[in-house]
Amino acid sequence: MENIPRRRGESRRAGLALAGSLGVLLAAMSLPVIAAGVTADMISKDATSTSDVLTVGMGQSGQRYSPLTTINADTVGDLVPAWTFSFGDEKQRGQESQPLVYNGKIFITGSYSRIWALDVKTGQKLWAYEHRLPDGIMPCCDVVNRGAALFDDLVIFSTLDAHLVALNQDTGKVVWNEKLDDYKAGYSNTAAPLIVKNMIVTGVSGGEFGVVGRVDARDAKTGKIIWTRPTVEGHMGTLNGKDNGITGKTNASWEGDQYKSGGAATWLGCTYGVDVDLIYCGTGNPSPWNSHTRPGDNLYSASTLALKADTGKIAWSYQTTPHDSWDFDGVNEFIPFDYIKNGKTVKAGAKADRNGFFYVLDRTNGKLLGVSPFVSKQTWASGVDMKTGRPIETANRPGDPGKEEKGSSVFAAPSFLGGKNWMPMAYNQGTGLFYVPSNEWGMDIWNEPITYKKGAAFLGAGFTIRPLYEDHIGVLRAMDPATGKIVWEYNNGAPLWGGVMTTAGNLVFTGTPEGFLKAFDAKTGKELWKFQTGSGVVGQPITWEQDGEQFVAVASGWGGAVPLWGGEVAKKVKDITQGGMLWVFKLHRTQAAAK
Amino acid sequence: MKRYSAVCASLLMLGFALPALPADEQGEPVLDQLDQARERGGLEVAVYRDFPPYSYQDQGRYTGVDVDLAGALARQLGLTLRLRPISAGDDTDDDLRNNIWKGHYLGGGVADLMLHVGMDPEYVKRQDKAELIAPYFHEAVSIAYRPGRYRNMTTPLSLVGTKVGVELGSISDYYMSGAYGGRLRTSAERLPTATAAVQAFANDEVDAVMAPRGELQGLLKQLGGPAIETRSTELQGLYRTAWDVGIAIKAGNPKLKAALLAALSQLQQSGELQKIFAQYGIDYVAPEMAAPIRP
Repeated sequence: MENIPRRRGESRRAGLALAGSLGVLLAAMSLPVIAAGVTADMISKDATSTSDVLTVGMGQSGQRYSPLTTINADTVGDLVPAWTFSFGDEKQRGQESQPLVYNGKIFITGSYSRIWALDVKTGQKLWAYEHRLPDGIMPCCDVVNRGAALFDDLVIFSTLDAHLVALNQDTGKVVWNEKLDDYKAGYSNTAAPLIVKNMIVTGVSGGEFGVVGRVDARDAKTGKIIWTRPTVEGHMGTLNGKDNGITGKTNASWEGDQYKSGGAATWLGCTYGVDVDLIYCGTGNPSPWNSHTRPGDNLYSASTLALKADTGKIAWSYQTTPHDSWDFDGVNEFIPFDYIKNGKTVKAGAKADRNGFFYVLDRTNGKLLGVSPFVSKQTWASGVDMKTGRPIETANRPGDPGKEEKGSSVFAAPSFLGGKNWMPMAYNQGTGLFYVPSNEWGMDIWNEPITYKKGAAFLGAGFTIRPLYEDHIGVLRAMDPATGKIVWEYNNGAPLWGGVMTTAGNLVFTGTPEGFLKAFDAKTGKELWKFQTGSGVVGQPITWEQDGEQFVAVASGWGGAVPLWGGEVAKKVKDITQGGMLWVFKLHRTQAAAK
Repeated sequence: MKRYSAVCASLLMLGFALPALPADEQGEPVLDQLDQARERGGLEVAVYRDFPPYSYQDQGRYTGVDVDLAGALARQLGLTLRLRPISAGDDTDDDLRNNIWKGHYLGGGVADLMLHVGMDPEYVKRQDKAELIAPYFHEAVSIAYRPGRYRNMTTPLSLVGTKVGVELGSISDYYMSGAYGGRLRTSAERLPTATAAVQAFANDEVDAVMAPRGELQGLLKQLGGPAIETRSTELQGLYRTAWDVGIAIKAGNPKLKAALLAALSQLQQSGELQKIFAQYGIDYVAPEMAAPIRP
């Protein structure tokens, strides 16, 4: 059984009230220390250190789990705002960021490639940096940013024009600025970078033709490239400026020169398993969209790749949607975790894929350990073969536009926005459950033989997203990774689009487009607390402890890909107003208790 | 409101019947896009960025067939030209939304008109927020090849086993990838742009190049490629390989539409339009669709 968290929180507060000398001692300890900077060791312990949040994902594995218990299922009702900060400007749109907390500062990125440093106690703005974006950037899916990375005295984030910018944590001045790729060729970047040892690891985003996915590792202090690993077979990787072997085997799963523009963008970044020294990165769909013109599995699109941290060599790969035809990107986070089976600890990792399946793999070798749907409807596959790890397809592939005029419309679920999209799930070490933000929608797909691109005829496809149910699209689900069973679910009217966070206080936090940050009982799914932030919440909540109090923070500001798509879904979200705020919460204390 | 009253008054004085002006959501009448352009004193025309020979940068200046046409249209309307080079979206629906009727969510508003919009009748019918008017040219996917490399070119299957340069993701790429059950798939050399495909051909790195005829002719001239036999062919299969291109405006702007149709008709009759195409090495082919009857 888990600790009874209430007692810990209460005894701490009682201790403060009783012993004045102890209070003084604590106050002295909380005085600003001259920090030596964020080290690789601190990064690797971020998941258990409670006084800071150094990484997006609250640890390199991305579990988004905090051992803190002061705010718990019994006390969460007392959660109230401590302070707020407005991002300002006329620039609003989606705020999908996660704050970082270190050395008395809170760092938060915002839409349009902006970042702020605030005093963590007061919310006072310390500095702001607004990346100068060129004309002609074409971000596919809103102008979001998903958070920064900390290393040494730097705070580093990626920009919509595909740069990686490192700023001094104290001054906000640019220390280095590296081009990840050419925005004019359709590249962009919105994911949070990952720190592994002394390296900063990034992927690439870009929806245009010709983009080839890649993972880059740079020296985090200088931004200089150490290794790069393309995610499409046939492309050469590098290490320290030298060739480091081709990805896969050229033309093993692609015909002709199609691999040269194969897609598989790594737009959601990576996680890291410190015990196996592997970096896990998901890849997007293959290109072009029409699967009939690119026979083969199209490796390593729609896959999870495990890369050796020091060399960028592929240790193993697992393709969730071979020869994708539905835009089921395989970019979703692969979260390392352990579970006990037959008395033995299993080194596993889990991923809730766009395609609607929840996969549990052996994180050392990529072997499939378990798989089950995490959405109520999947039309494209009836299951996954446990022996081969391949989906069992149901002949739900859209027709070949080269063979049929207009073509019949195919209904497929999940929709191309996925059973789960970018929004990260969380894993609770106490309950042993994953908390998956999912959406219940399908799509009509039909061939559009007459459309145009840049003035020339073009074979397009038409898509319309359709909710599966009248009263809800979003569902927050608790999944047991050992059994694949859904333990509880919570329905939400609008699609869920924000990250999830869970704590040893038996709590699960997530935001809703309707504007609420909500807390649920981690074991039962009962809604325990909610707060209206004034705009849709698509950010990633965090928690930390300072001066003996536990805090929760989340960015609010509606946007992301959902409002950009029309149809039935747009109706559900059309009245949500935009915003751009950071909200920080703590437990309410009466004046009497404070004295 | 004041501005609208003034317009009404002048129309009444001239004895015209008051046209039913469209109104925005608040019921406030919206000026025709042409009147808005006149107030601004300039005609804003969207053309594709990096799209030779139609609209491209040459030594820091925008030039090309569409740029010259935009200038000529503005002149006919008595307005100065404001060029808006645009990045192509995933398809033309995106471009129309971002540049003609709604504006991109990054900001910047809309242009008065956009050039080089595909005008298949079914496509024109499908647009409800943009109006596709005034076809001005006819494109057809074509092949340029070195005659010595092929015995004959009676069927595209003659391309099997040779190298054919195509622009990545273009209709030519799709044709090579999908037609004849994929038998041409491995013959395609996919290059990032049509310019790169024609350059590869000029460098003798590929045996043939496939692209819309206007692009092919214009780029061959621009790159000073060898005198090469260019064969125009209506490729077979269900792929759309020939189409008219025309002008798009925001729906519900009858004055702008009438003015543009009149201006284009003038350019066609005077031969100026044909001359613009000839200047860039393109044989002018008249659109197959008749221009819509004037409102």
